[in-house]
Amino acid sequence: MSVRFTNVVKRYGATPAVAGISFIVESGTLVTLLGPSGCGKTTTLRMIAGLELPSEGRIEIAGRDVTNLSATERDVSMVFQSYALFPHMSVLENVAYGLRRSGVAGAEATQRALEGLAQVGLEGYGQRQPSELSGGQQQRVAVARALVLKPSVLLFDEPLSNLDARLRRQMREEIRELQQRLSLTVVYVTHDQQEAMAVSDRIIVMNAGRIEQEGSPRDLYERPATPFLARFMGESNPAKGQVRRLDRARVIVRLGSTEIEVGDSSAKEGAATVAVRPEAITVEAAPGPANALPGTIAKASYLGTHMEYSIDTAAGTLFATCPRVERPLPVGASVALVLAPRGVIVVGV
Amino acid sequence: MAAASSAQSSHSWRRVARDPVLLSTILVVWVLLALFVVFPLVELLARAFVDEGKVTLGPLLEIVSNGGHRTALANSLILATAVGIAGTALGFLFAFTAVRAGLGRHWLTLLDAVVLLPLVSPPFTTSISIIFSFGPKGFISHDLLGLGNVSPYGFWSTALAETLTYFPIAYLTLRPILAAIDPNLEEMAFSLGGSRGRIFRTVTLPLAVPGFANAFLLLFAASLADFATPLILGGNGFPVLPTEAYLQITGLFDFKGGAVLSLVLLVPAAFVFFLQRYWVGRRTYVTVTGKVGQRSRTRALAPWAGVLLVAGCFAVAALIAYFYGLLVYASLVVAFGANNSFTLAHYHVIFTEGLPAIRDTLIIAAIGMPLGGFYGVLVGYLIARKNFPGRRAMELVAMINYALPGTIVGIGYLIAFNDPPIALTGGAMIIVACYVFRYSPTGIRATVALLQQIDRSLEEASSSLGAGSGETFRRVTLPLIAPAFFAGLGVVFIRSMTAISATIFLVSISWTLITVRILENMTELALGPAAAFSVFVIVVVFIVVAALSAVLARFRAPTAGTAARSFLGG
Repeated sequence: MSVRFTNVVKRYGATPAVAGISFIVESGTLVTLLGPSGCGKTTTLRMIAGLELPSEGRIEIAGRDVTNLSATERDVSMVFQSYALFPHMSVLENVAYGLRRSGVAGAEATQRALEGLAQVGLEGYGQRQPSELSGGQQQRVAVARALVLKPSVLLFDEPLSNLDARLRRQMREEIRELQQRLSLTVVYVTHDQQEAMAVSDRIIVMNAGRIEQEGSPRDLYERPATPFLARFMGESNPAKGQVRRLDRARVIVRLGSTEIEVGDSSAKEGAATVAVRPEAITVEAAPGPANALPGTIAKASYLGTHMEYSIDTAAGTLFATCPRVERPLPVGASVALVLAPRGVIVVGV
Repeated sequence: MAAASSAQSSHSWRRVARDPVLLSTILVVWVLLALFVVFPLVELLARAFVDEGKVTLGPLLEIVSNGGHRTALANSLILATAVGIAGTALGFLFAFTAVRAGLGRHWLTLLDAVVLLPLVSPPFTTSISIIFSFGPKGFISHDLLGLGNVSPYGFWSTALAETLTYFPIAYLTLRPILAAIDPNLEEMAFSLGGSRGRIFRTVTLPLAVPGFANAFLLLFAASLADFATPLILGGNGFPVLPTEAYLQITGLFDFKGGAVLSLVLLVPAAFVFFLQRYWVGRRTYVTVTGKVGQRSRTRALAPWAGVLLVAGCFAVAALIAYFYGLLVYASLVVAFGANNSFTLAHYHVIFTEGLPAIRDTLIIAAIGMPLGGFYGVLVGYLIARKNFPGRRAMELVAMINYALPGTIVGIGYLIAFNDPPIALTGGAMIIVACYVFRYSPTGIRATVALLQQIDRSLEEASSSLGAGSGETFRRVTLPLIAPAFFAGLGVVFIRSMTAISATIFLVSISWTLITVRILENMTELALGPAAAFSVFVIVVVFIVVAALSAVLARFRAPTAGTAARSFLGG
């Protein structure tokens, strides 16, 4: 493996920013640290980079204990949120900077820097100044500058937060494509759940300095372990329900007057918190099919691609998205809700 | 909480200890500060308050009970108050005119140049011209007004010279504050039906009050510490503390008395410094937004008021220009007032007899300039960027010599370095050290201000890319703070050419300074060479300032250059 954290703690004064975390990043994978601001994800990334030293615990990179090594001594490169391009150097000088510092001779450093620029699609931009480039181009220079050192691990700190929405999608595809093409080991920090799902092999969700859950994007979306995760990974409605176990792999979840059979091997019987995904709710005009959940439309908004409804039901107010925009339902209309089993998740008691 | 903070500090120790370059740099800076800031001050206090191994207030009481010294203290405070008020008023006149009278760019540049002239001149320039103008054979008193035996010495001439010398400080303080007052506020009051005079009284002036307080305190401190002007113009009738301390030492060889007198000066000086820095200074901080140029001209100034302001400014500017013109003229005639025929004899004198002083001054300035520039950038970098125990203390100690009146620093150095273990008196090094530690704080502050504008991730990126802390500093930080470096260089050079209050105690037979030679010329009434020396210093300083401004203008980040340039003026 490329990165291993063992019981790592980081304290500022008395307050722990990271309260004891352990995880592994396998070589050639892209792992995202995801969480709300202040959850400790950036501190964790900076500890991999060596820009912060842990208060306790052990950090290994490529099998070597680097716990107390500084950033300079670690075989790790970071792409900063602000790009941190040196404003007094040309693009080429920026990219060659790390090579020159690690003792690569001038001509070879230039050659490798030019290759690095080619890899990010910036051939011919070497003599420009960073200030003459667009945001996306500056981002690519920052990536090339980190990439040419062929580090064991490449770190990205919220790399897309300074770009506009259209460019964000393009850049995240480019980063993912580059990572897969060169089999890079990447640790990526973001607070954007969609961005994390789009680029990652694995996601580590952090909250309040701890790891809340880790797994593949699909794992986390379909089987969030806690109410926080259900809320954070996409949208969900918290609802109060009753669980009754059918057999080892299946339970019946009762919400109001409806019962849904859900695949689940761990939920306990009795009262439970249930997360309902908005896209798993089909809104029909009342009376609807048997076993539907009756409700009344409280709010309705037209968003072009879909409708958004708030619906009062016996299981609480549920928020639903509905792709049928051609026949909107008015506020006050009686409706019947059909819940798809994949979007009904038991997240706790 | 105590446990937490000690855990934090032990943590930062661990980080510092792991970085040998950083650790040794911090240690070297502390050793230098201990040697050249703390040690002289401790020696000064010991000389003043310790007698045969016992702490005693005897010398202090003796000094304070002396009627002559009490008069000197009272004179110092009266003079400082007068200069504070008059200089603030004059600074406000110029600042308000520059900001609101709608002058063209070229007129503003001219105004700026005239205003900054006194700041970069040797300390006697105005004094010499006042003697030429108001002396017994003075151009104004004798030739124009036909007055006979008038004396140019005393309170009024000292106050006039100091006001003209130091009002630029008030101008530099007030101008950004006035510029930051949004004319829209005045416009709005105007549209609500207020008269122009009323708006000025009720909107503009109240908003500028913290600026007034700040300017007054800065001028008060400058006048309190001024040594050269009262020495020339005070005469016997108007002694002040710095001159008393000087005469105590050079006249009576009474080091103890001089030390105590200079420390009496410390009380009001320290009081004003802390008042300015920690109370008023905080409230008047204005950020440079660059928006000023885009604002429309305000209507809140009546046309006649504008004309009056501009006329007032140009009258003062004309007076300053007249004083400097007079200086140049006097340096080119045989004996001003008595024999006005053209001669280059005075310049011949300063480049033959005076050559050692010129050579010494330039050598000392040339050594002090790079040392001071580098020291300022290094300490500023440590303070702004590195987290190590004792950082705040380092910042404070580094500022001490800058804040103290020069007389105190000079006497402290004289006492501390006169005898082994560290005997530096008589050499060039003591003067260089005095300049470096007294005038580099400007460079330190410029560096800190610049670094606050530079994203910290640049340095992190460099270390993440494999550069050590020394290499990061050299290749990334240093090029980015180069403007502050050059500003620091400039200030150390200018002060090396023009300062006297501290270094008058440190010159010797083998190493002397132009300013000290000017003083000697003045006391020997050799006013021609004094004028020629002054002109020479002004010309050299202007050339260096122009060269540095050209260098600064080349930097890419325009705000950084401007910020650093403004330090050159201040």
